[in-house]
Order: sequence, then C-alpha cells, then structure tokens
Amino acid sequence: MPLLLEQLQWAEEPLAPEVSDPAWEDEVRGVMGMMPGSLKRIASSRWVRMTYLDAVRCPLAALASGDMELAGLVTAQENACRYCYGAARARMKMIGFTDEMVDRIERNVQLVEAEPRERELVQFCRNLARSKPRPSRQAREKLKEVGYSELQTAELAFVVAAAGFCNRTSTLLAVPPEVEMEGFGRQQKGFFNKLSSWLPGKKQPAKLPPPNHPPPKFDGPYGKLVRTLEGSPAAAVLEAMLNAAFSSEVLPRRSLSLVFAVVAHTLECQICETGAAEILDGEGFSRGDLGEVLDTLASPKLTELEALVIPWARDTVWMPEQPARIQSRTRPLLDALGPRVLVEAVGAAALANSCVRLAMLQV
Amino acid sequence: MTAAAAAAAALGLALTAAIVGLAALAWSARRLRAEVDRHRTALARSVERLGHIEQSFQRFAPLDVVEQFAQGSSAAEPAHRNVTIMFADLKGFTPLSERIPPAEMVEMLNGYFRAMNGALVAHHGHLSRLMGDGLMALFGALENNPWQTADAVKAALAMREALAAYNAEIAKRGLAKLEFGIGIHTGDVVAGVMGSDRFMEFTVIGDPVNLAARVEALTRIHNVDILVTEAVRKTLDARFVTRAMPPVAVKGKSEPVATFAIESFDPRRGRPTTAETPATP
Repeated sequence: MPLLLEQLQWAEEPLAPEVSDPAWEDEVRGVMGMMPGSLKRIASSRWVRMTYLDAVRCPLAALASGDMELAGLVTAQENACRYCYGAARARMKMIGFTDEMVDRIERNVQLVEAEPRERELVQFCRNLARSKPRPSRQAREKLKEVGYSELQTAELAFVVAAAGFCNRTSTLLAVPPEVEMEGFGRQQKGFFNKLSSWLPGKKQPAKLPPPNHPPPKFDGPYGKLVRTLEGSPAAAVLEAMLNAAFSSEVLPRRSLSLVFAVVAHTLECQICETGAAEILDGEGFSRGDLGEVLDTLASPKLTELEALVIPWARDTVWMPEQPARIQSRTRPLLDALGPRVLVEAVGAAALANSCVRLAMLQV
Repeated sequence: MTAAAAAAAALGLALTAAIVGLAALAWSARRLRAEVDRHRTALARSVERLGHIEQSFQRFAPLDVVEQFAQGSSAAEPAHRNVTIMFADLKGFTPLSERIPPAEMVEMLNGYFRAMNGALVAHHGHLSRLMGDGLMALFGALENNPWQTADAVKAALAMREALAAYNAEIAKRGLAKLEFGIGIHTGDVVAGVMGSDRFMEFTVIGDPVNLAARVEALTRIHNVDILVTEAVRKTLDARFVTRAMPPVAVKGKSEPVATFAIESFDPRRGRPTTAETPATP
C-alpha cells in the first residue's frame, strides 16, 4: 500500500524559488482563480509552466469528471507527491467525496467492495503510475470489459500521465504543500456542508477554461504518441506540450531527447527509445553515441549539463516511497545548474516519464 | 356515535398506527445505522491494522513484493530474471563476537547492517537476506535495471566507505575494526516468493547465486575486499579500476574461476566504453 499523506517525508527547503511574473500570475488567476505555489516556482520556464497549467485544465471528451478526479488522487498517492496528493484529497472532499470514500481509495485494501468499474480504474491508474512493469494491452482489455471505451481508456492514461507530470515537477522541486487549501478541504466535513451537499450543483467541480491550441497535426516530436489520443482534446494539448518542450531556449533539444531515451530505456519502452534516437539523429548525435549513453549513463560526448542530468533522470522513473530521498538526490543539480536550468531539467524528466507511460497505448 | 365521530376515531386510530409504525421504522433504521457504523468502524480498524502489517512486512520483503503477494498478483510468482547478486560477509567476526557481550555484539551488527543497507539502497539494490554476519543483496530483481552490475559495484564501493566511517565510530567505543569481503556475480536466476506455508521469503535461486557466494569466499584467498566475476567485469566501463586475480578452482565449477578486484571508480578516467576495458594484471 502506498503511504498516506501524513506518512510522507518532504524536504523543508524548496528546490526552486518563487519567481515574480505579474503577467503569468494574472493568466493563472484568470484560469484557476488562484495562484498555486507550484506555478510560481516553475514560472521561469515558459514550456514547463504551460505544460503544468494545461495538464491541470485539459478538457476531455469521453472520461467523466469524477473518474478524472479519482485518477488524479490515485496517481498523486502512487507517485508519493505530498503537494499534489494533499491538493487532490482536498479537491475531492470539496466536490462531495466523503471522508470514508477517500480513505477507502487511499487505503486500497477495501477495493474488493468497490464497483468493478471503480476497482479497475483505480488498479489501472496505480499500475500505470507505478509502471513496475508498465501495464500491457491486457490492462486496457480489462477496462474495456467493465465498460470503458477506447477513447475513455486513452483519456484515462492521459490523466495519469498529466497528473504524473505535475507530481514529478512538484516533488522534484519540493514545492511546499498548499496547507491552506488542504485545510479548506477538511472543513467540508461540517453539518452545513452535509446539508448543502444535497443542493443541486454542489458536487460539480469547477470547470477551468480550456487551453486554446490549434488542432493536432501529428507531425511533431512523438507524433505517433499524440495520435493515440485522436478524438480527444488532449491530443492538441499533448502536441502543444511536446512542441514547446522540444523548442526550449534553455534546455537543448538534444539534452531533452537524451532524457527521453534514458527514461524509455529504464522502462523498456522500445517505441519511445526509437523516437528519441530519431530526434537525436537530426541533432547529429549518432546511434553509437546513444548506445554508449544508454549502456553507461555517461559519455565524453555529453555536455556538462547532460553529464549531470542523465544519471539523475533514471532515478526519476520510479519515485521512491519517501519523496525526501529523490529531493536530496536532486539538490546537487540545483547547486550545479541553478534554479532556471533545474526547472527545465525537472520538466524534461517529468514529461519523458509521462510520455513513456502514455506510450502503453501504442503497445 | 355519529358517523363523523366514528370517522374521526378511525382516523385517529390510523394516525396512531402510522405514528407507531413510523417510530418503529425509525427505531429500526437507527438500529441498522448503528450496526452499519459498528461494522464500518471494525472494518476501518482492520484496514488500519492491515496497513500496519503491510508496512511492517517491509522489514522482511520489499514493499512491492508484499503488495503484489497480498493482492494475489501473478507478478509475485517466481520468474526468470537477469539479476546481479552480491554476498558480503564480515571477516573474523566469530572470534570477535566471542569476546564481547551478546547485546553489544548485536548492537554492533545492527549498526553495520544499517550502514550497509543505506549504501545498497542509494545504488538501487535491496537487501534480500541476512545470514548471521553476512548479507545477500540483489540488483535488478524487482524491476528492470539495465545498469545493475555497475550499480552493484558502486554499492560495494559505497559500502567500503560506509564501513570505514562505521569503524571510526565504533573505535571511539574501544571496539575492534570490522573487515568485510564482497563477491558479485550476475546471471539468470529464478526470482520470486518461495518457501513453505510456515515461512516464505522473496529470494533468488540458481547457479549464479552459488557462484556469487563462492566469489565472496575468494576474497579471503586473494586478500581483497571486493571481487567480481568476468561476467560482471565485462559490463563495466573504463571508469571502474579493476585488477585481475589468478583464476581459482571453486566447488561446483569444472574450470577455475577468474575474478577481478575492484580498486575504485574514477569518473574522469578513460572513455566509458563497455566490454573492452583492459584489466591491469
């Protein structure tokens, strides 16, 4: 059983400072009605902050919002993200999940009593977030058996991937938990809330305004992966995320591809590894050099930044039971790279992990 | 009695019956609710207890394995895996243990295992079994690990450092310093939860496991602390400084076994190309 909120050890000192960017803060407030600490700390990177915000507000075509919330909670818990887990827990209580329901999901053990749909959903999300090993086609078949359509399954995998992006970013940067929001979630237990929970509309989660991206062309980096989401608005969002990441002005395209290759190699994802190799071909990084990096996590061909980020990237694949461990492993990177580059490196590792998990739809 | 009075009486009776019925219903609902609450509390307690048990079991087997096993998952069933196996044993601990009180000896050993486990976990290994003053650790047994041999050797080097630090600590208490021998080998084994209905554990079996144990014993013959087999050495890149040892016959092997002592890991040394690293004889 993954650890519960109060059992997680979280670094006291964040690994990225809050960045003041009034235009960004206005944009986030316009979307979310608030400015979460996580989005302040990644404000220095245009693509990381855009990806994070889009991951939170991405509209879906087929998956019910309740399923989405549940997937978000389970993924955050599985990834041992104190920040997102606390926020997801509070959000679920705000939209009407009872304490017992949330406890039951968190403790996992009582899932035998749950509806087959809920049970399969929770198990699918846990297994995909964990990926030890990454779920196979059989896992998708199981979802189909309990009534999930292919598009719903694809969107569910996207939710796990998107939540995983936020989880890794918040964890690797040790973003301080939103204690105030968590407190608000706890207040939902009162008599008035029990009474008002009968009122229509009370349980509807606030819909965030969706991002505005052009329709997907499936011709950018990992275009085939984007195509697995065809029919869902998530396809355009994922394509925009990947295009933005692979044209970063801070983290070279080559370095990002190497991070993708290492994460894919760790999770035995041949499809994503080949995808990274193809991008690296275009960057003049030979297959032989890539083979050396994948064999040894080192190479004289690596830049100083890559030499630091590559061995660390493999440690981001399976989040340790206690997040404080990966946070202390990340701190030397902050000292060597500075906060601006670290935010990009963290975003790269988070996006690579999300894409490799999502690639289970291609198997 | 007038018809109106009769009707009123009947209505009164009906109302009384309805009130009594409703009260009985409410009382019954209340009882049922109390029953449900009682069961829910009992269930919550059981769940909490199960959670504690699962957490406690982590001390005996890796959490992933405990969880898979508890869920009856097929992932916990024995399967062939390529795993790197490390054996570590304290040299000359038995005579030392005879000279110190049992409580002090156990405290000393616990401190040693804590230090070794920290080094193992930091390098993606997990402590599989304790055998007296010895231990068996595994790399790549629980998840895919393409760098398992390098991880095992780096863990052994970290254990060397951790032992030096631990020796400095126990020297302050007037205790003699500890020395260990580590043997590392890699190969295809059967990994999974095995045992009888009274005792089960997550472990590995197969010829590579026996060879790793034999290699650990060879550290006494070669008078070195970390030895690896050729199968491990050929996966290491030039940053690992190794020294070839003369091949030695070991039980269960028809040919003498070639081993390599691990000197150090130098990140600035050479081009990290695998397989062709020349060993300095």
